[in-house]
Amino acid sequence: MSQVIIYSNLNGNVSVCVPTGELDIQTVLQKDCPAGAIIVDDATLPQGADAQFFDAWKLNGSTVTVDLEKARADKLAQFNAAAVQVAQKRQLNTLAGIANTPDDATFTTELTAGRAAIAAATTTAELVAIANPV
Amino acid sequence: MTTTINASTINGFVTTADTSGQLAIQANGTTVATAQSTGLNIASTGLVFSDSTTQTSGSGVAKAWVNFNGTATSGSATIRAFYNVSSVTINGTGLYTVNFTNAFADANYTTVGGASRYAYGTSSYGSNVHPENISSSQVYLQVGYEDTYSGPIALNSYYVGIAVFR
Repeated sequence: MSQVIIYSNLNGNVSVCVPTGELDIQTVLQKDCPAGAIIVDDATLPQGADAQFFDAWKLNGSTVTVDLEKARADKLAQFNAAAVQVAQKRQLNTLAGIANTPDDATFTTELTAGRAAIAAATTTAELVAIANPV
Repeated sequence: MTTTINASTINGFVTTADTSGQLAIQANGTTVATAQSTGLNIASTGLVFSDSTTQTSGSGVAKAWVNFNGTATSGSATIRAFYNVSSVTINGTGLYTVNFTNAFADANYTTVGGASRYAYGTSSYGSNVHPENISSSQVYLQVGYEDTYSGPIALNSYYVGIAVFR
């Protein structure tokens, strides 16, 4: 089982320091990490869908949890960024006389449904299951 | 056979000669380098810089490098290979700190790096690696790309590589 060093960083998120093994982990703790950093087994860190929302990780004592509200906000930001790219591509298609698929009304409906699903998600697994616009 | 120059701990400076066209440099009988027509071969002990703590000699070679998976937070899954790197810290999406085992004398080194855009198997474009907040003991990296419409986008990259020269 591997061990890593974790601490709350200046952004309020969790930093995970992974030693290479060239130095022992206690030396890395002293040399590379701020005061208050702790050594944990990496298996105790969020796994699966939770691991995909790294920016929503919060350190409570020695336990890392996922802030679901922050995870929703991050997912919405990703969704919207993807939507902007697709919308730009669709606009170019229209100018070039290329038909968009799906049509504009369906695309708008899909965006609305995606945002509603993000707002209603109660787990990170549900958030992961919501596809970004393509 | 090889012509040798040996620094013996018993006999001092010892040489042997032949017509092989090769020259071996030995430290008390152990060959550390061999010069031959194809080039200079360094023994498996490698190049050892005299100032391993300050890393200021040997400016033609990388003084530190690492290849890591920026999408993982597991020790065994994160760092694939490295030299003179004690740890990699993941600070957020596309935000990494590479910590050096032996610090440099100053922060006036240069870095080269690259990264894949997405997870392995879904990559379409490469990403940029931006070094920031450089110090003698660590370098802070931002990985991402500039999207035409959305501006700078940070991302976790499956392959992140950086080499440091000084």
